[in-house]
Amino acid sequence: MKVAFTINGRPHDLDVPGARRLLDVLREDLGLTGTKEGCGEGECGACSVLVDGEVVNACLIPVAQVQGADIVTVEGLEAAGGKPLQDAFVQLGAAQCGACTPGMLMAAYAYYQACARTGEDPLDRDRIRAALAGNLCRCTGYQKIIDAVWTGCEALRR
Amino acid sequence: MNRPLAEIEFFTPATLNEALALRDAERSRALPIAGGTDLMVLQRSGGLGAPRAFLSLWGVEDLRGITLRENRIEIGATTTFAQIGRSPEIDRHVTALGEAARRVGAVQIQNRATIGGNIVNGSPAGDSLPVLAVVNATLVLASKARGLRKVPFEAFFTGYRQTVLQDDELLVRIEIPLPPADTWTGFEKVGSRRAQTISKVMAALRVRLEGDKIADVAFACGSVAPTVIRLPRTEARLLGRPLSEHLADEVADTLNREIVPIDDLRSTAAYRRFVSVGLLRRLLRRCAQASG
Repeated sequence: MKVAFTINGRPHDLDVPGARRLLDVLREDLGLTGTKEGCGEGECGACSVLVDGEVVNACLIPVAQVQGADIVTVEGLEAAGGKPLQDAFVQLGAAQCGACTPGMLMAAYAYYQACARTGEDPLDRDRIRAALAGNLCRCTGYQKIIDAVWTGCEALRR
Repeated sequence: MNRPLAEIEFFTPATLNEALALRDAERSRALPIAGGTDLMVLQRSGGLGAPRAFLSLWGVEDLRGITLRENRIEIGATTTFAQIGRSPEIDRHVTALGEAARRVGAVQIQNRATIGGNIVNGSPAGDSLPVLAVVNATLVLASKARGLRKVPFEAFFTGYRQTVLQDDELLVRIEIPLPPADTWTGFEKVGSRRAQTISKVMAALRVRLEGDKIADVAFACGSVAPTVIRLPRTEARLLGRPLSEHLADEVADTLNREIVPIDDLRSTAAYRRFVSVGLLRRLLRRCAQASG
C-alpha cells in the first residue's frame, strides 16, 4: 500500500506492505541503519525513533500507522538540534560498543523536549533514569550515559 | 505457523463506521490492532496463529480521548497510556489509573500502548485491569449490526484471555462513574524491575472513609488468577473497620483463600501470596497517609 511520511525533514512516498515494521522500512528500504534492532520486541529501546515528537520503538510499529507522520531518526538528530547531546556522549565516554547509543540519544532528546514543554527541570538524575528506563545497555553500566544526558541537557538549555 | 508481516493485509479505516463495517465483513480474518505493543510481539513469536489481516484502529480519531461528563469520565479505547498518565482529569478522579498507566513498560511503550488493547488482550497481568475492576467501569462495545452494547467490567472476562467480545464487535470506550468525594484509589505493581516488566503481583484499592472507618471499599488483584479478580470476602472484612495498614495482616487468611496464584516463569504461588498481603498493607498505608 502507499505510505507517505517525512523522515528527518524529507518527504518519502513508498509502496510497501502495511504491516511491515517501521524498523525494517527504515533500515532496509531507506538505508537508515542508525536505528538498531536489539530485541525486536520493544524491551531494549535500541530501535527508538521519534514519531510526531514522541519516542517509540520502531520494531513494534506497522509502517501503515505512520501515514502522514513526522519521523526523526538518529541521522536527523543534529539537524533537529540534538548535537549538544551527541557531543556530551562523545566527550564523556558514554558509548562503548555503541549499539544502544542511537536509542539512548533519541530517548534523551525526547526527554529534553518533554521537559521543555512542561517546564520541568531536566537536570535531575532520577528523572533522567526514568526517561531512559526503556533503553538497555550491556556495556557501560549506565552511569556515563546518565552523566552525558545531564550534561547534554544543560548545554541545550544554554 | 507464522505468516510473515509482509503477507498480512493491513486495513486502515479512518472512522469508527468504516472500522465497524470492516469488522462486520472480515470477522476473525482481520485481527483488530491499535498500538501493536502486544500483537506485534505475539506475531513475532508465532503466538497469533496466522492472521490473514490486521484491522488497524490507530488512525480512528473517534476512538481516542478523555472526556469528563457530569457524572462519569469517558476514555476512548485507543487512548494511549501516555495520554492517560498525564491527564489531569484522570489524576483527579481516577488517580490509580494514572499510576497504573505510568508503570506500563517504559515511555516508548506508553506512547503506543492503548487502554483498549490492554483490556481486549485480556492478560491476567494487564496493568489497567485491577484499577478498572475497583472503579465499577463499564465497557462500551459496538457492532454494525447491533449498535452499542454496554458490559460491566466484571462481566467482560470469562476465563484466561477469554472475553465476551464477539467477532463483529469492537471495544470503543471505557466509562468510569465519578466516585463520591473523599474516595481514594491506589495501584501497586511488583515485578523484576521498576520498568519494562510484567507484574508478579498487582493490586488496586478504592476506599471511602466516614471519619476513620472504611465506609466503602473495593480491592482487586492481578497476576494471581486466570483473570483480574475482585476480592469480595476480603472487602467484606475490611468494611466498617478503622483504616489501618495492620488490617492487611488481619485479613491475610481470607485474602489468600480468594486468590489462586500459580508457579510460573516469573514467580511462585508462595511469593505471590506473601506479596499480595504486602501490597494491601502498602495501599492501606498510603490511603491512611493521604487522609492525613
